Amino acid sequence: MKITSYAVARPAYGDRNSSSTTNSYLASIGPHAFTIRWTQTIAAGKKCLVETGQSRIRRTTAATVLGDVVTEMIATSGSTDIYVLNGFLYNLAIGAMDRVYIPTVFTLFAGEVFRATTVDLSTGGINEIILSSKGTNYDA
Amino acid sequence: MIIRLALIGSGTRSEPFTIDLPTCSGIVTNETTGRAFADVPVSDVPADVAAFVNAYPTYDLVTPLPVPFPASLANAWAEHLARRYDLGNARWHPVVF
Repeated sequence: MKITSYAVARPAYGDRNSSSTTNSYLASIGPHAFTIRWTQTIAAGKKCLVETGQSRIRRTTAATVLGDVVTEMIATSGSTDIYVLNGFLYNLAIGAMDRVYIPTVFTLFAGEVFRATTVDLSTGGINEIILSSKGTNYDA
Repeated sequence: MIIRLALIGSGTRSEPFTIDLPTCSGIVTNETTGRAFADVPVSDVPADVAAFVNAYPTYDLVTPLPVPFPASLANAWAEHLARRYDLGNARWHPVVF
């Protein structure tokens, strides 16, 4: 006689109505104020495992007056901001580059917001900026 | 889908320029005209809003729409997002601009 337990294990997160979620921004851009480049909000009943992400800043045209060029990825829970990634370039040389990666995977819960921001405080000049992430959305 | 929307915020760290949507990517802005392009998940856009966007295509961040975005569509979009995300008091009011 075959005996089967009713206590069946819950499916793994990847088998719970999961789907890929990607966020991306790529532009060659001059000086600008703080601007959100992408936003991801986790809906009720869902979670998101953020698996990878990167920021790359590369100067393609020298600035007249050098200022900070900054990228940020921020996870927000309620009113608390967690800086997940910070890119920073302060260099006049064409081709100067800053590249950073999200250091670990992490989970976003319902209501939490994941966003990416850029700012270039220079005068003149252009930078190529890439900000991207990939995660898996699934039923909580 | 790519939609041209009204920009909000003041460009400061505490109030960066952005779009009033829960989820979108590839935001390209023009602070002078107050417009931005963004890639919005299709599931976040009601069919009648998508129909409006397709009926009045935009190619730059300067040229105004030939007709303003109807308030009825704006309200319907806000309700759609509130239902879809179901996050209590969270409310978004995106405006095609």
